[in-house]
Amino acid sequence: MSGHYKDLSIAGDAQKMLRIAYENNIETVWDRLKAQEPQCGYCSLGLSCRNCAMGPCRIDPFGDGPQKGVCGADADVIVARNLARTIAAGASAHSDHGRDILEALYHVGAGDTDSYTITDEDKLKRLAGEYGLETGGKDTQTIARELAWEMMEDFGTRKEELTFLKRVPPARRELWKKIGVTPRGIDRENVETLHRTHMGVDNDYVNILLHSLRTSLSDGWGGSMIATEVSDVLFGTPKPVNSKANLGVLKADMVNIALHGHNPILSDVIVQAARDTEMQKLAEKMGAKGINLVGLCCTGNELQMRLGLPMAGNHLIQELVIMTGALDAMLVDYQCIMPAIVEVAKCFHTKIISTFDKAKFTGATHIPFDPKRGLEIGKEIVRLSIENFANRIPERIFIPDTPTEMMAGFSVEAIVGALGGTPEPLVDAIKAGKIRGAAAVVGCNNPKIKHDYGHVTLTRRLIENDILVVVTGCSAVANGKAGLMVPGAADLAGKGLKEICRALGIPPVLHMGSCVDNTRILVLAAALADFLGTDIDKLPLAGAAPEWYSEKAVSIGAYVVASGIYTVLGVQPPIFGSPNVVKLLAGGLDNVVGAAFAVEPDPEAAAVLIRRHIEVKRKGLGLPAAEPESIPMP
Amino acid sequence: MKRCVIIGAGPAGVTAAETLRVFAENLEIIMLTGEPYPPYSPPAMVEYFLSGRPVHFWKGENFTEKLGIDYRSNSSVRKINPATKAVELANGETINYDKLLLAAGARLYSPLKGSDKKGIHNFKSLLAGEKMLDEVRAGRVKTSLIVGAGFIGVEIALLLIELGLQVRMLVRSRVMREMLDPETSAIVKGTLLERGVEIIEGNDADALEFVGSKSVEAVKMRSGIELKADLIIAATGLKPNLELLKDSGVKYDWGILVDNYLCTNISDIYAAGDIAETIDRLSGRRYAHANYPNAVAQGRIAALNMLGHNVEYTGSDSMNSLKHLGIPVMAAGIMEGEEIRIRTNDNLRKIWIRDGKLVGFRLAGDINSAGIFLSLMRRSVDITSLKEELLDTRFGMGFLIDSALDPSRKVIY
Amino acid sequence: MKTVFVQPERCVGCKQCEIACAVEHSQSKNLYQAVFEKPKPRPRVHVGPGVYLNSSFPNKCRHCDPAPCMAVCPTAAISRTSNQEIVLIDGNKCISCAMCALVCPFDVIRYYESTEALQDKVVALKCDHCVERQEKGLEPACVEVCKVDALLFGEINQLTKMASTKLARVVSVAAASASIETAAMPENLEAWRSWGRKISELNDR
Repeated sequence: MSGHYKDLSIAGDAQKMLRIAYENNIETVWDRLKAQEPQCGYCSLGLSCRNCAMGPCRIDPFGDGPQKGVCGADADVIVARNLARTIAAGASAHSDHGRDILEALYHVGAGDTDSYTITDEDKLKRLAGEYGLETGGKDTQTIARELAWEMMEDFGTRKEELTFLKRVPPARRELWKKIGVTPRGIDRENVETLHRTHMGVDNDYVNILLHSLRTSLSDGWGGSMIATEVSDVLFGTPKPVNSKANLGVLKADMVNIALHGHNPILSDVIVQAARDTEMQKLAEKMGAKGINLVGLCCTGNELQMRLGLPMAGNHLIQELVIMTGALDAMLVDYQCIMPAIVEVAKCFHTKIISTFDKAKFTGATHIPFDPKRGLEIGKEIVRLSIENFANRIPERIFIPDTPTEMMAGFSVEAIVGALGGTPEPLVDAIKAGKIRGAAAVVGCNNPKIKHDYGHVTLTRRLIENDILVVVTGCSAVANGKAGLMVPGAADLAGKGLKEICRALGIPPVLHMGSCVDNTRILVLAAALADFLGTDIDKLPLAGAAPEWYSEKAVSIGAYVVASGIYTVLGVQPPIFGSPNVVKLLAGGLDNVVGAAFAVEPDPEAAAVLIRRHIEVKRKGLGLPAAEPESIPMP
Repeated sequence: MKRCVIIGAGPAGVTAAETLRVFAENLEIIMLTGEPYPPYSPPAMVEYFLSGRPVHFWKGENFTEKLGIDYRSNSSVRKINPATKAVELANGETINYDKLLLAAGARLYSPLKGSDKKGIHNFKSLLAGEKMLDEVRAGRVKTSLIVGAGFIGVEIALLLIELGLQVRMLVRSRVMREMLDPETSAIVKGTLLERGVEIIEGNDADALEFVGSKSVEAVKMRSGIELKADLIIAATGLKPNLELLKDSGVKYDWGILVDNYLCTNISDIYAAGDIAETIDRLSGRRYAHANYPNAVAQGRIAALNMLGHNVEYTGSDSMNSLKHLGIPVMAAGIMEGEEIRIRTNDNLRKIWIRDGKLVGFRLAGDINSAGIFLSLMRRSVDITSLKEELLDTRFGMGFLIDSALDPSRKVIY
Repeated sequence: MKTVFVQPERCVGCKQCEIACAVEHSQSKNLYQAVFEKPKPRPRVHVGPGVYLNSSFPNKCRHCDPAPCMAVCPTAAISRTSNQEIVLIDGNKCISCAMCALVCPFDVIRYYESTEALQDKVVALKCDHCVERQEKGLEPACVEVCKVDALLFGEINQLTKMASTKLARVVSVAAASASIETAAMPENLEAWRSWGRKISELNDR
């Protein structure tokens, strides 16, 4: 509803839709943020504790009022406990997603699903090998069943460490053991976080934070990694593919269905169902020229990576897409789906269809998903969407802009493939200084930051300065829309990076997938470290989450830092109430895991922080390096 | 000074009397009014007629007694004689004064033919209001017709609707034209329609004459049509009560002319309230500002000057507020310069800015921060750096505090 | 004269004062019952946002003397207590004309149903300086719950002297010419605030 719609996003399609929201008095996330302000200072400082009924308590950050909760916890303990729970929630979200994918793999193994098969058999066998399974003479169904069973053990408590830790460079594995953060079981670490943060258990903020790192590692090298790898096995390992992005991907004359959320398990079935001739005929009968599936958020990323499915937008677009009046159905699975979409949909004809029993939306149509009869359910959903085409209000249809071209599909396998089967050319380019280093620009959107401004500005500055950028999640969508993810965007890169991109025919900004796919970045970093015979923290790498909002992002940030990669956050985590916690996370951690966090909302300044960091690391490796401080702050 | 005479018992006269009493315990104060009631507050009349609660006797019914004021109701003044320093009452009695305050207010001004006909109602005094209400209370009237759509016309319309009458209103240009811009006016009109007021507009609303044999029966329009109603109310405007000034030598134009100390051309005679013409703080224009806050401020200043304290009157404010419409509407200042606005449904904020200063605003619906706007306006604060924020629905003291702290903004509130 | 003194730099926007104020002016004076009362108890202190993210200001009646609201009230519903310290609104007399809100330079008057007024009647509400609590020797509810000392209660002269910020004086007595200086803030708080400022500036970019 805000009149200043041009100030809310840098994306042209979003600005146009926000104008419609304003003119029609439709409430959006920005209006609700305004209504919430001023947001509670205790909470945003991390100084409020609601963990028990002696409380709720809060600590006076000015030092005159109470400095201890009822139990005696001080600012350090309260902030650390809150952060630990945030990380556990994020890690749980990713890992539960992983478990759902794993169950689908198990159904393939058990032979009781009509909707899934093994698409990447090589990867299935490679994974089975990593899990120590004998594959010789076994059919894929058996291997799938046995692998799924083994992977499920990673969720339990019977192991001393997660299986994928074998992928971690040896030095880092040793370090984790030494400081006691080796993740043992995915569920176990999360449950233990909840236990430790119960009143009267772990009352040492350093100890709490160390376990938080362990919890996040159970996500990055556990739950999320399983989600990524098993998704590749079931739906195919991504290969470079051409696609399109922004709200212009909607088609006025077709049935438009948006696939929103994070888990590709149902969306894949919808793709099959939409191709069905019966459905195509029904669409024609309703007067549509066909069925147009588009992605939103990370479900969109999963499908774009593997099938090149067009991408409608990222997190902050989810309300705006409905306002085009051309969206016949939005199919949601889980995570990052604002309850508000149901309200916005009431102003239009769009049908919101929820599909997971663990993620229901009051006011939406709920069609529970069952992998045993996935295709049948998929068709039912597509049929409902087609039927809703008739309810469109023609005068309310407004599709802004034409789509931007973008490339997706850069899995680790695809990147190494593009390099000719070995990371060597990339390592050589880094050594020669043509590429100074690489940075991952990842994370969400947050209405506190001008939509996409952080992602796109930071990415532009990095590639201009010969830093190869890999992106996932909302950042991938933002940069795709901004035109940075086509091979031609190499012209926007510095001289060295441009040369390499031209030679390989790749964009300077590589789409590595959804937010669980940040694990692909970990795998790539580990591969580079192994190739150089060193540890990840020695590499000229950095991470950034310029517009993050979600608990999952905190878990990602924690496992990236714990894995040895310096990370710059654009939004403050709620930790500023404890100077000690800030000191540890933004400094002291560097002496423990070789990396730390920084908070810098200005992407121009964040770019300089990353460039300086990369030069420091180059120097450490004995590579030609600029004097870090010689790079001026904007 | 031994004796002070105040003609009029409205807000200006009453405030003057109170002020005189605070500073001069033993002064003889005589207050004269033609009406039969204790002093009453005109803005509270609607509430009194609706609820029957005597909120309009805002100082209490025996307030003059408590303050030791010689209060004479039913005492119209026929003329004043500055040469002998005396006022002459309708009953022939003569009262001498040392200082005289003219605060007799204003009454209905109707330029229509037949305006002297019996039975034309108005709302400019409690007496007139009671007469009108007598008709309603007795159930003698079902339909009503209001000529004029200014602030008072709208107030009467709302009152009569609440009392269950059918209400028609003649709106020649637009509702509350003097006070509101077309957009805010349209919101008010919309609300009146929603409340059930029938509005007759444009050429169809061009009234010529009150007609009727013995007393008024209808209003004759330019089109020739005669609009009938059981209750016909004139809300066509106000005119200061100047008859008593005949041959007195006190200078007047539309209202009495006063200097910066609210003294007329004759020393010892002061004027305050709706009867006087004062300078508008913002526009610099001179006219009779008929509103309660101005009347009170002038009554106080006039009294202080009558006591010899030499206090300057800094100007009148053109402002008003209409709250029982259903949505609150506020207006202050002028509608000149750059206009900025924001509208969401029936929430409208409009602000006029001239030379970096806020010079006027009209608010409908959301009236938060109106007081801040008025204060910024009265004190001519440079609001250039706050321009964007003024329309923000969350605008308030927090914004001003931040602006005071920020050296780049330099807005000292 | 005793007053509530505001130190705006210390406000963290938790709105505890609003909750305490509403509860204090409820019939039950109990949070969990108050939320179900009719009319709904309303706070008379309002924590509004500032220009920047992370800035906020608890705004309440300054009990001005002379009080502009009192001068323009056409029903004399606004009056001073006999000790002259508190400006009160009598909901029974209020006709909700909103003149007081129009002339209040601090924007502290709101219109809601009230237990003081007839049923369903909306009247002007503002801070009464917790007059009932003060009679019992207690400080106002908003001050009691403010854990960061953004709100203080005491003799105005003493408070002005010991106030850690000059801006506090600007706010409390509305002196237009007061100089602007901020007291030293804890480093982490300064970082938190400057992050908010930065975000707001970035979003204006």
